[in-house]
Formats: sequence, C-alpha cells, structure tokens
Amino acid sequence: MVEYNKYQRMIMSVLARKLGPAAEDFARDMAQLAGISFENISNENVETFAMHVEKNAPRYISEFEAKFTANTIRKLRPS
Amino acid sequence: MLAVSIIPLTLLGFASLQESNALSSDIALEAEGIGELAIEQSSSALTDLGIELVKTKAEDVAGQVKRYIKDHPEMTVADLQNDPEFQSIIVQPVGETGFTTGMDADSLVIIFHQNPGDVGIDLHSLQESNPNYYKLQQSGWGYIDTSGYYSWTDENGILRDKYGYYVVAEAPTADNVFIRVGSTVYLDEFLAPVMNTNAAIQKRLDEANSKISASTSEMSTANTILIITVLTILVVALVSVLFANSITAPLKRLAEVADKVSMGETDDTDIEIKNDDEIGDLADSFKRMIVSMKYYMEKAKKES
Repeated sequence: MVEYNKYQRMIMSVLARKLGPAAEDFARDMAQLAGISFENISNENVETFAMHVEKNAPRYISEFEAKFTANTIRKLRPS
Repeated sequence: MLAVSIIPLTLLGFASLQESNALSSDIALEAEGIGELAIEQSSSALTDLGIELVKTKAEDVAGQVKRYIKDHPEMTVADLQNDPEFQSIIVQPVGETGFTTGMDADSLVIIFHQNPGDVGIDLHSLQESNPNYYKLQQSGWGYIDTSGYYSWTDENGILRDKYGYYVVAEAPTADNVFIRVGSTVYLDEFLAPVMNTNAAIQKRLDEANSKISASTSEMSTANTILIITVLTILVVALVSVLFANSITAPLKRLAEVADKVSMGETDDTDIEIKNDDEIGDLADSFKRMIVSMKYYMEKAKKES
C-alpha cells in the first residue's frame, strides 16, 4: 500500500466513493493521461487531472456522477 | 385471509344494524300512528256521545216544561220566573260544565238562566260579537229544533268550544210565550278522558322513542367501532404490503444485478436504490464493487 500525502488521500477518497477498490488504479491512469504523476498532483495542476476524470469516468459511472466527482476534486484544497 | 373473513362479517353486521334501526323507527312510527288513530276515534265517539247527551237533556227538559205549563195554564213568564219549582225544572245541569236555559222563542231574550244576571239579555245583541252563536239561534226560527257548535268565553276569560241543542216547548205560557229550552256544554268536558289517555299514550310513546334513540345510538357506536376496525385492518394490511415491498424490491434488484455480474455481463447493471438505510448502504457498496469489476475487466482486455 502506497503512502500518499493528505491532498492525494482526499482525491482518492472522493474517487473511492464512486469507483470502490479501482479508485487508486483509476487515479493513476488519469494522472498518466494528464501527463503528471499522481503523487505530484497539486492545486495548480489538478484541473487537467479533473478534466480527464470527467471525460473517462462515464465509462463506469453515470455522466452526472462523473461530473460531480470531477467538480468535487477541483474544489479540494490542501490545508 | 383475515380481511377476507372479517369484511363480509362486518358488512353483514352493518347491514343488520341498519335494518334493526329502520325496524325500530318503523315500529315507533306505527305505534304513534295507532295511538293517534285511537285518540281520534275515541274523541269522535265521546263527542258523539256528549252531543247525544245534550240533545236528550234538551228534549227531556222541554218535555218537562211543556207538561208543567200545561198543568199551570194560568202562569205567565213572570209567574214562572218567580216559581222555584219551575226554575228547578228549566235550569238543570248538563254534564259537569253545562246547564239548560230558557229563552223567548220569538224575541230571543233569555228568560231563565242559572245566572240571574243573564236573564233579560237579548241574543240579538250578540250578532256582532258572536256571529256563529247568533246564526245558530236564528236557525231555530219557526220553532224547529236547532243545534250546533260555537265559541264561548268562559268565566275565566278563555275562549272554549261549546255545543248547544235547542228545543221549543210545545206549550205557550198564559201570556202566549213559547219557551225555547237550550242545553249547552263545553266540548272539552267530553274530551277530558281522551286527553288524559292521549297524555298517557304520548308519555309511553316518548319513553319508547327514548329507548329506541338510546338503542340506535348504541348501534351507531357499534357501527362506528366496526368501521374503524375494518379500516384499521385495511390500513395495516396496506402499510405492511408497502413496507414489505420497500424491503424486497431493492433486494430483488440487487439479486438480479448480482446474477448478471456473476455471469460476466456488466451492461445494464445500474442500481437506482435511494434508500437511506442499510439496504441503501449495501446497494452503494455493491455498485462500487461492480464499477471496480468493470474497470479491471476493461483494463485486462486492453492489456491482453
């Protein structure tokens, strides 16, 4: 089990609520598509990551749920 | 099964109670009708009897007057007025409230009366104040018997119905006056027993009606309890069915989706269960598990 910092754990939690156990692998795939490492996602580059979540998640969940999840990720703020 | 057995019983009970209510009301009405008919017929019979009594009395007194005058042809009206024996013949009680009187058959002036103050009254003076009575007296013109009803104000000032029968004694006095004997009585005297009976019947009817009302009220309460019981059973049954459906319907849908996924089919596996309880939590968990399976199955296909 990889240890993530708080921001990554928050993103993972949001994704896990909709995707379950596949959340971690899905997050890594979306980060790869965004051209960044999931560990390096920050408030500055999260938009690209969220955009890919919004685009690819409807293959597994409804469009509404995908958009809601992406927007939730966009609004996350690392304290 | 419970509802199936209770509903017909309830309907039967309700119909029986309604029928019983209607029957009680009909009996009360019928009894009232019989009472009224009995009173009406009794009143009529007693009134007829009273009229016959008045008539008989008038004819009897007129006969006695005739005989007395024939036995005393020398006596004038004034003589007769001063004769206590004749007074006791011509003024006699009729029933309890009536009496006989004597008047001049031609002039309609009262010449014999139990109240001496009324002697000398000319009945023509009543033409305006008591036209019915005056008309009755006028109808005896020609010395024929006359009778009829009229209203009369009694000594207490109360207007009461009266019946009178008038017969002219067929013998003139020495001063050639034919005396018309009148026999009068208040009608309510004859009806007093009927009124008492009517009051007794009315009292019994009121008591019977009160009992019927009380019984009807009890039946209404029983009806209400029956209806409330049946409604409660129906509502409980409906709520039970809805509650059971709210549990079994989501579980059925979960079972269907689980069956599909177990066969490798991941299409049409959306689970729209919004229950805010353990079933809702179970559905959410199941949904996440299916999403993960979809994701990994797709990924495995890509990699292979």
